[in-house]
Amino acid sequence: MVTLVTSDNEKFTADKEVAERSVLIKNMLEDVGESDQPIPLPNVSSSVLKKVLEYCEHHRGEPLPAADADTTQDDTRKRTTDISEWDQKFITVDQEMLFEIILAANYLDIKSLLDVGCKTVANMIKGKTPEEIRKLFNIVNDFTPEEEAQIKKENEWAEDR
Amino acid sequence: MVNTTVLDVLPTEIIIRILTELDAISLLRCRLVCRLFRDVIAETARFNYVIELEITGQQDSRLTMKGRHDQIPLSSAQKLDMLRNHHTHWTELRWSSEIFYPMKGGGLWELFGNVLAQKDVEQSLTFVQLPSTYRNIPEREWTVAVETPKRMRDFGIDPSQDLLVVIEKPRWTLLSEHYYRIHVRTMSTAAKHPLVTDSNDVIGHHQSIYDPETSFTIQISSDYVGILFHARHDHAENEFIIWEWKTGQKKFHLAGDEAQSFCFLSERHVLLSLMTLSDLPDADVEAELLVVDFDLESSNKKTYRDIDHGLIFSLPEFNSSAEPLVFTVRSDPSPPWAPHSDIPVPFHIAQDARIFIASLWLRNGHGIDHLILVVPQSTLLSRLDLLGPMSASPSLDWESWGPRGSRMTKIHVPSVAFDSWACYVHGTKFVVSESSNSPRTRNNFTVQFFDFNQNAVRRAVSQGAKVSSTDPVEFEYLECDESLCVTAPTVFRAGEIFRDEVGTYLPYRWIAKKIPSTRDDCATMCSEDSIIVVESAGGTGGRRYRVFSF
Repeated sequence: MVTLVTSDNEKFTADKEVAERSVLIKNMLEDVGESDQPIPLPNVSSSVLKKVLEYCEHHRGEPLPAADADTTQDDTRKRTTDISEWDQKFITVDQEMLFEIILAANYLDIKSLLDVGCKTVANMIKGKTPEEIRKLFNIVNDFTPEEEAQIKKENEWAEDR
Repeated sequence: MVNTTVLDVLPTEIIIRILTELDAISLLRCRLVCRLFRDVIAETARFNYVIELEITGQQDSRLTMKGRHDQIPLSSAQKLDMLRNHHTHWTELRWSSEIFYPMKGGGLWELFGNVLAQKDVEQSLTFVQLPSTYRNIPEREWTVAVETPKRMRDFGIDPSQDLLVVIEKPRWTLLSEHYYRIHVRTMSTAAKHPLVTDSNDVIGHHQSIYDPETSFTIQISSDYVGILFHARHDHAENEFIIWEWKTGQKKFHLAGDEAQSFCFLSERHVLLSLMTLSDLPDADVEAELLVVDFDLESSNKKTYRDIDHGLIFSLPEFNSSAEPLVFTVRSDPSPPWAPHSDIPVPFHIAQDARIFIASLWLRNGHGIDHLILVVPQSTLLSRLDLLGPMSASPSLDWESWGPRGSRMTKIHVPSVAFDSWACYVHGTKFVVSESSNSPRTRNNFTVQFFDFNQNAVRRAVSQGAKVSSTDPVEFEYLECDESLCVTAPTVFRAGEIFRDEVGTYLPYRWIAKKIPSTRDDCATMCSEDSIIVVESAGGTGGRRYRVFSF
């Protein structure tokens, strides 16, 4: 078993196999060797870690992506935006929690969870107008009218869709 | 809750990750959201590449390049460069090299999937994978001896599946029938194709009347091979059959001389040109386009009137002195086509980037006219909710689909036969040549290039490309070397060919170029990276293919 300590100082215990779905934790455990020392996770709150561990528990035993499988640097193929049913249910949370999970997955280096999170946000964007996207994410339109007109002109070819 | 936004919470690297999941149209909308999104999209080569693919009607080939670990993958920035280069050179019709291939004496040839195939005098086939500078494809030439069948009548190819379909010269059976054997082989060795089972490597077909002059049109579309048997004999009739080539199973069987030509429209639809006897008293023959969902059809032999999932796209009504003579459709490559996984191309033509060209020859008073009708795939596919049994005459009026969804124009081509053999269409582009005898060419054999990629035309117009207020068909002289966006409609006056005035509005890109030192009776063809001039025997020697490569 591994003990994890969150930013709000709560302790979680998890099977090593489950916790090691996080590449960060896996590396830390390798560094400290056989020890019962709790691992501090100062960037993750207890409510988020609870969710993350739920995810890792569900996916325990599945093969991890190889370290060099991160092809996003130059991967322009159409990725599948399909998310499995369990993952979809799991990620149906409020927006604040969704972003927290994404940040935690990024920090803890859990690639599959990061993917699920990013795909979920992407699916929220798809089919929406710029104004709807702004509203969705509480983004302020910071363009000058000239800048906005310029982009609209660049986008002109794709209108009427 | 404090007024935080996605931008305050998520670092740029994660925003990039999210945007990576988006298609081109969503990316365009995102760059209108805020400066940060705009800048991230502008500064990331991958996003520019995705957007440029959408504009140029291409798709990334990465998915088809499985198992090629020996290749260093190109970066998005490199592919973006290649894509822009490829597109610009085509738009300006600036080819990079000229290659000659002698014409073999075998009398049969094919151009499909960027491979030119020719039959030799002996029983062998020579293939040339046409090279490309801007997509970095090497030239490759190979010859295979076809041991069986001994007597080849015609053939079709699909390089993406290493597929060679050979029609054997038919045997005359005791029942006075023609029995056809259609062999399913590989292009690489002419051996039995590995994806067919032992018993299925020959597809059989009975033609009920002995007709030695039957000719064939063959097109392969992923799992399907379609063959139109053009009967010549008075008592024989045309037959169009779609088989699943891996199993030899018949999928669709149409009989009757109404079917003049076909091409695959999607993975499950086929487009046919029909010449039917009209119900109207004063017009004898009608020319119509028919779309069939062959996936839903039974495999029984039937006439077009028995089709259960069809839809007629009507042409405008002709004037009383105009009578259709020949009506064909053409499009290449079949929509599901993608390059073979062994060829490491960076990108290739997108599956929905297709035009279908209907070519119509008609007698009009004392003269002969030739019209072509250019129809993008989307015009046809977007209206298929009206498919139904032909007994209920499902049809679309010309007015409802034609004027905005197509372009009809008069184009001079060398001969009626040209339509049946010259592969002058590829994706959204096509080429036609105009002879030096034409008053418009100032004694130069001239090739005209048309591109109906709508995104690219619209972008060019919005970027201030030269717009022509006249359809080039009206030009007194073909001004060469200047690319034009043609947004002006093509209009036929009432009574000129059609009863009423007919205008079509689909914009396109056009350019003309002189081809020096060639003979006049040449035909021009088009593939993904080449314009091919088929030169007849002249002073310089035998017949040859002159390939202008991009």
